[in-house]
Parts: sequence; C-alpha cells; structure tokens
Amino acid sequence: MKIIVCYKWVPDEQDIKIAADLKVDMSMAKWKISEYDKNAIEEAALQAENNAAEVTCLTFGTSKAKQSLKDALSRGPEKAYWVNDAKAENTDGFVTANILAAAIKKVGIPDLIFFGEGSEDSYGQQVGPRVAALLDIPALTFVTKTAVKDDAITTTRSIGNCTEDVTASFPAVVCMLPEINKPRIPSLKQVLKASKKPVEEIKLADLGLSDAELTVKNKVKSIQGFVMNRKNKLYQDGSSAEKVKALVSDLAKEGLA
Amino acid sequence: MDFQLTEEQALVQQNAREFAQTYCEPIAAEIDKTGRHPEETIKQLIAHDYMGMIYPEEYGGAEADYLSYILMVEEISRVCASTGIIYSAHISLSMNPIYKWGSEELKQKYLVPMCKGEKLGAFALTEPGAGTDAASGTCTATLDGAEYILNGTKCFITNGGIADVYTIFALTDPAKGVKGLSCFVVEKNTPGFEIGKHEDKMGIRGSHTSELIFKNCHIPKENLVGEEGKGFKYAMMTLDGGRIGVAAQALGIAQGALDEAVKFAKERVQFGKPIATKQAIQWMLADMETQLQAARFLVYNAAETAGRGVAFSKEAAMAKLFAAEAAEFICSKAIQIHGGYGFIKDFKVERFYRDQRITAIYEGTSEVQRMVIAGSLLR
Amino acid sequence: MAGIYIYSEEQPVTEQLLTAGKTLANSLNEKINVIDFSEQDSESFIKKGADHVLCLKSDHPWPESYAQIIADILKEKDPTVVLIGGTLRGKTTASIIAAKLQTGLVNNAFAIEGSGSVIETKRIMYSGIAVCTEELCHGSIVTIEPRTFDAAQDSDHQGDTENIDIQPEAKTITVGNVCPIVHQDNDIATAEKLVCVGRGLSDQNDMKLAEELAEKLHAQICCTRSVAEDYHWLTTDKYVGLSGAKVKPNLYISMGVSGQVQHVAGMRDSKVIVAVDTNENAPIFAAADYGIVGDLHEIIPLLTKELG
Repeated sequence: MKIIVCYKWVPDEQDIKIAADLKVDMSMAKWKISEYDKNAIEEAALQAENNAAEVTCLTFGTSKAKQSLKDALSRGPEKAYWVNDAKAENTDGFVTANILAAAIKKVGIPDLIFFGEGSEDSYGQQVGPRVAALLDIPALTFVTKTAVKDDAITTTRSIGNCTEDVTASFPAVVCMLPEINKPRIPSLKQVLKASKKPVEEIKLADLGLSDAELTVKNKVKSIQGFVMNRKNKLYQDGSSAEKVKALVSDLAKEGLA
Repeated sequence: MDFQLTEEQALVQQNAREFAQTYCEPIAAEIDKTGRHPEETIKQLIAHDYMGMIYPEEYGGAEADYLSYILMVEEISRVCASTGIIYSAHISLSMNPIYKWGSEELKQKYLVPMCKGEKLGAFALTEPGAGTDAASGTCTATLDGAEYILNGTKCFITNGGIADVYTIFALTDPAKGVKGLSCFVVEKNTPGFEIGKHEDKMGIRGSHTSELIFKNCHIPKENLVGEEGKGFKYAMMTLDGGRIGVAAQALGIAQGALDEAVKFAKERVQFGKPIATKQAIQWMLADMETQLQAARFLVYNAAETAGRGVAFSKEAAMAKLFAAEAAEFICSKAIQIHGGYGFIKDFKVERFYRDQRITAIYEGTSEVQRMVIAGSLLR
Repeated sequence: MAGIYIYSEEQPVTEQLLTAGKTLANSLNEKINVIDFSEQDSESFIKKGADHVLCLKSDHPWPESYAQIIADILKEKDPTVVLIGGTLRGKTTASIIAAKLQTGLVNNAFAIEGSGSVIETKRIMYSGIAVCTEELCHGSIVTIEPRTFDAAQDSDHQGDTENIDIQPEAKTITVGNVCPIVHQDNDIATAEKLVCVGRGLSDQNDMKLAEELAEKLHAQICCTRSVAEDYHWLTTDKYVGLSGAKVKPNLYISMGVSGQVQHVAGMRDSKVIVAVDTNENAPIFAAADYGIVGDLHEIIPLLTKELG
C-alpha cells in the first residue's frame, strides 16, 4: 500500500501581529507544519507501522518551505516531494490543487492520499476534495477513524449532525479531523534519521500546467485584522459580591437576567 | 566561522522544545513544590531515545552530536531546571567515565542499559569534607581478592536514591592523595550501600540530592573503571563536560526568565500603557538579552569544541562561569520587571531565580572556573 | 447565461441562502435559481424568493455523490455566482464542483456583497485574527455556514420549477451505518444561552458550578477544545471554536476560559459575552462585554445566587 500525505508550511498564528492600522504583520512569525496536517502525517505513520504502508509526503511551497522537509520526514514518511516555486506565496485552493494533483500524477497515483481538514493559516478546506476531483477519485472528508482492508479504506466521517461510515476502494483521498489521533513528538532517532531520507524537488515547469491553471481565481483585495466591537467593561471596584451585583444589573438592562 | 545551527541541530532543537513543552513544562511547578522526582518524564525521555543521546548506536545510543545534547539540556531547563540536571547528570557525568575508560564488559553491563534508559545514572565525587578540594576525600576502596570493599560517605549527589547506577570515586591508595583516587561503578541495592539524607534545597527541588553511605560495601573487581589511580583525571575530564551541561542549564533558565519577562512587560499595564513601553523596562530587557546571547555563544562554542574532540577545559569553564552569572543577573531582572508578582510563587520567575543559583556552585564554583581559566592563561 | 445559483443538501440552509441571494440579486440585477432534490420544497423556495427551482430527481442517499451532476448543470448554465450551504457535506461538495468547473471557491464566507458586477466576500483567516476580503471571479462558488443568515421571509414571489431526472454514480463508494449524533442536551449551536467552561477549572468537580449556573439561566453548557479532547469532561460536540461548534447565543458566559483565537472564532457572534477568569491579561476579556477578574470558585456561586 502506498500513501502520499500532503502538508502545508504555515506561519504560526501566535506570532502574527495586527498593527494599529489593522495590517497583518507576519514578520515575527515562525513557520511550521500546519497542525491539522500533522494529524494527516500521523495517520499515515500509523498506517506504515500497522499495515506496512509505504509513506511519502508532498508539499507545495516557496524556497522557505525547505525547512519543513526534514521536519515532515522525522514524523514518519520515507521520502519528501517538494514543489518549489515562488507562486506558493500567492496561491489559492484552485492553483494549489492543480499543482498537487499534477505532482501526484507525476510521481504516480498512490492507493491513498491524506490531507488535514484544512490549512491552519487560510483554512480554505478545499484542496483535499479538489485534488480528489481532479484525479477523479473519491474524497472522504472530515474523517475521525480509518481502517484499511484489502484494497479499500473504511472511514468514519463526523459531519455535523451525524457520523457515517464510508468505504472507498483505492485510490482515494482522505481528509482527517484533528480528533482522529494525537500526533506524536518524533523520537530523537527519528529526527536524526530524517536528515538521511531522500528529498525530491519538483519544478513547476515539469508539471505541464497551463498559465490558466496556475492563475488564482478570486482576487484577494485585503487581509486585515478582525475588529472586535465589545464593551470590555471590567468590574474592578468593591467586593466580589458587589462586582457580581453590578454585572447582574447590567445583564438585566440587556434583558438577560 | 558559522554561527548557524546545522539543519539537523535546528531540528533537534525544535524537537527538544516540543518535548520540553509537552512533558516537562506542565509538571515543573508541581515537582518544584513537592520535590517529587519526575519519573513520568524519564519514561518519555526513554520513549524518545534521549537517554543515550550522545553515545554510539552500538551501545544503544542515538549518536547525536554534542551541541545537539547541549540544546536539549537548554530546552528542558528553559521550562524545568530540575529535569535539566537529572538528565545531564545521567548523560554526561555518570555515563562518560564508563564510556571513555570502562572495559567492554562494563559498557555492555551498564552503558547499554543506561543508553536505553533502563537504568538511570548518578555521579559521586563530592564528600562532606571534600568539595572543591576533591583530593581531600576519605572514601576508600580496598582490594580484597576478587572484590573491592568501599567505605565512606558521599554527599550532594544528584539522582541519589533514584539512580540505579552510581559512578563513584574512592581512594585505592590513600597515601598517594589524588594519585590514589580510582573510579568505580556501584549498583543500587548492593549490600553495604545505603542512601542517606535527602537534601531540602532552595532550588532544582524536583531533582533528588542525597547522601550515599558505604559501609563495607563489596563490589566486583571488574567494576573498577579504567586504571587504579587515574580517578582524579577521569573526574576532572568528566566535569569539563558536566560544566557545559550546567552552563546549558543556566542558559535555559535565563532564557525561560527572559521569555516570561518579555511576556509580562507586554501584558502588564500601568499608567494606561503596557510597562514594555517604558524605557526603564526596555533597558533592562536589552541588557538581559545581550547577556543571554553572550552566554549562548560561549556555551555553544564550548559544546562545539568538545564535539571536535580537542581540549575544552577553558572553554567549558568560561561557558559555565559566564552563563551562571548571566542567569543570576537575568533572573533577578526578570523578577524586577514583574515587581511584586515576581516575588510570589504563582509566577515562574520566582522558581527560575531559585533554580539558577546552584549553577554558580555545582560542577565547580564560579571561583573554581576562574582558577581553571587563569591557570590556562598562566601555564 | 447568468444568474445566482443556490444549493444545499439541507432545506433550511437553502432558505437562509435565499436571504443572501435576494440581496445579491437586487444589486446585481440577476435571477435566483435553487437546486434541490424535493419537489415539495420548490413552492416554499419560490415564495422565499427563488425565480427558478431545478429539482433533481434521484434517490441516491449520499449527498456528496451529486457533485458531478451539479457541476454538469452549472457548466451549462454558466452562473455568475453559486452559493452553497456551508455544512461539512456542503463544503466538500462545493470543493469538488469547483475543481470540476476549474473555478474559484470561497469557503465559510460570513459576508457577501454585490455592487455593479463586482461581488465581494469576507472570510476569516489565521484562526480568526484576520479577515480576508476577496473579489470573486465570474462563476465562483461561495459556501456560507448555516445560520449565518436568517431564513428568507415568505412573499408572493412567483417562479417556476424544472424537474431533471438524474442518475448519480457514486463510483467506488459504499455508505453504511449512518448514525445521528445524539446531543446529550440540546444542540449548543442553537442555544439561546450558554455557559462555557475552560481549563481554568481545577478539576471535574468544578463542572458542578457550571451546571448550577446553567440551570439557573436555563442555559446549555459548552466548553473549550481541551476540556473535550484532553479532559473528556464533555463530549466533542460540545466544544466551541474554529474547528468545533460555532455558536451565537444571546448570552455567553465563560468561566476559566483564556480565550485563544481559535475559541473566540467560535463564539464571537454571541450577542452578549461575559467572562470570568483569574488572569486579568487573558485574551477572553478583550472579546467580552462584561468581565470579572477573580476566582471562579468564588464568583460563579455568587453569580448563580444573584441571578435568583
């Protein structure tokens, strides 16, 4: 069984600052593998351990994403594919999916392709199912459990008001919810071994995609800090009982107490 | 000259940070309060292959480079200095003599299970009457047929009572002074070997510090490490490495304190603005960061020198001296920035300040480091 | 060809999208088309503003399997914009359709506005700290989460219905064991009042404080992600946040919740937010209307009593 797990290298949102003019400042941000994608990598690593799956990983990123490759490899995959292009700086779900699908076709469509439920930065929640559609294979999304048997995968999907078990024969795309597993911290030996694992860089030009396929669809006009309009009233005077009294009186004015 | 970590070292650093945040940070305040040995952290260190970090794979180690090990000690100490010393006492103090000078049999018997983490190590040189003056010890080892018989008392032993394997020093020929000192491996539960008083310490309270008492304790002759009479040399060379570990511990504590100070300065509002906007606070932070980075360069340089396999006594001494003093300065300023909050136990800087104090004392006081540094200049 | 197209596998969500669709239709001067499965719903959709209802007749049980057919229809109709209900199924369906049509997709838009021929959407980025405004390409798909808009009102609007027989092929998929999630109480997503517990609780016994307060207020209890996933004090359907439930009650009282961005993203549409926490610097206070810095063990019982 072969699995390709896709991940994205993202800025850590804890380090993202919103300036007074609402501009988003990422200059101080450390970059990391999107937390949601770590669940996908872990699930692939579990398949490698339990079902002898041959796992590789794939990312589309700028030259900065080079840092992510060994990190990803320390978490289980045996080989990393990296589509390295500055276009990753300004991409969308449409372009990213076109590139990943083309890269997967180039390296050979595996039995399973794993994704996280969405990326931590833009959270577009579309690249996984888009890739499935481009490869004309099923997409099993919002998955909380996987079980592989013969040439098929059975997943439990958790979709709002119900769960459902869906079985798809290979090949298939599976997108994981975070509750599916707890990604492990790699062991030191896994970390040290990662630097000896192979990395293959894929050039965008080698994927045979047209300009149209590489041009973002919707135009981002602005990305600005979210403004919270709240009263921010803190009760600071008096005893705890007096503070609570003041709160309840304010709630009463709002018709809530 | 390259001041960048290699890709591998950077990844180890990230891994160490994640490890420390996940397993050490959540219990750091609790083990400080209760003085409990963090057994669960040791289990995780084992599961993550860290217990034999710098030793060859053939002995079950991970064969990481020395600077990577120092990064690990720094990252652990950044959140929990107690765990930092439990770990470095095991890796660099206890295991080093066995690895460097022990027989193949000793390595198989002790180094292998220690690398796997099945056995925790301790290092015992200090005695009640022999601290800095390590040569004035009175612990003896008398050869009797196929055994040595140990007598005497060791004190202030990190991991004492918790460790399974003790690398200890005793006089095989008291008349020769330091030239009569030898190194042995003693297992926990050997008849005649008792754990004495458990110290109630100011800091690093999660690490156990105990007295070891030997009363006619018989150990196999084969447990002699290297040659008789070479013990002092082994101890001093091992302590050189131990000093970089303590320097890394000081560095980690200092970084932890600075992290907290920066966070607090940004959050704490006085006169309608975060105190970080005040120049008085900014100057303190600038001095702290500068001291910290200077310490970091000395510590990494010592580790890198040790990793190259050349003499590093002076580098280790300078690293420990400077990092320990920087840590005291930085932790003190971190408390100052916290104001009254820094003095209460709800804030981490209170613990960091107590924890850093020992780094200027053990593995050779700052005065001893100065002796070593001056000695190498005036040779 | 042009027009606004609306689809959701859930009828109430379609009715909500009609609200957004009508505003758009006015500013763009376009017709509203609804794609649905049930002929019975057509009339209701027309009353609520649909000009044309395409009723797909099939009995395949897996909504996602209609993606290809909807894509085929849309390809022929060449819509200006497609609004799809942002349920989890809906987002997956929308992604597949977008890929088939090689068009853009904005998932989870919380606002959509048309002016002249330009359509703009807003959605959350970076776990909620930023808002991304996008200008849509022609034919872009937009998903909008349930309850972002109220259902459209009935009117005397006229329209027509077109039945289309279809045969979805669900390729290599088999669906079994569909199991509704039984909410222990009511669904927190629709609750009028919520009491939210976070990691500030010392242990599970503190849940009693929340329960007593909730009982007094007739509120539901919800929690942060770690309370559900790490402590298991409540089931995962009770956690509020970016990847959990999005709630918008009239009153939201948090106790021991620090207010990480991911959590705030799930609750900031609440009408009134009250926070109780020991840490005066906790980000929850920036997201709250009313706040008390203090020990929840002291404050919450006082609050429960005072509300009597």
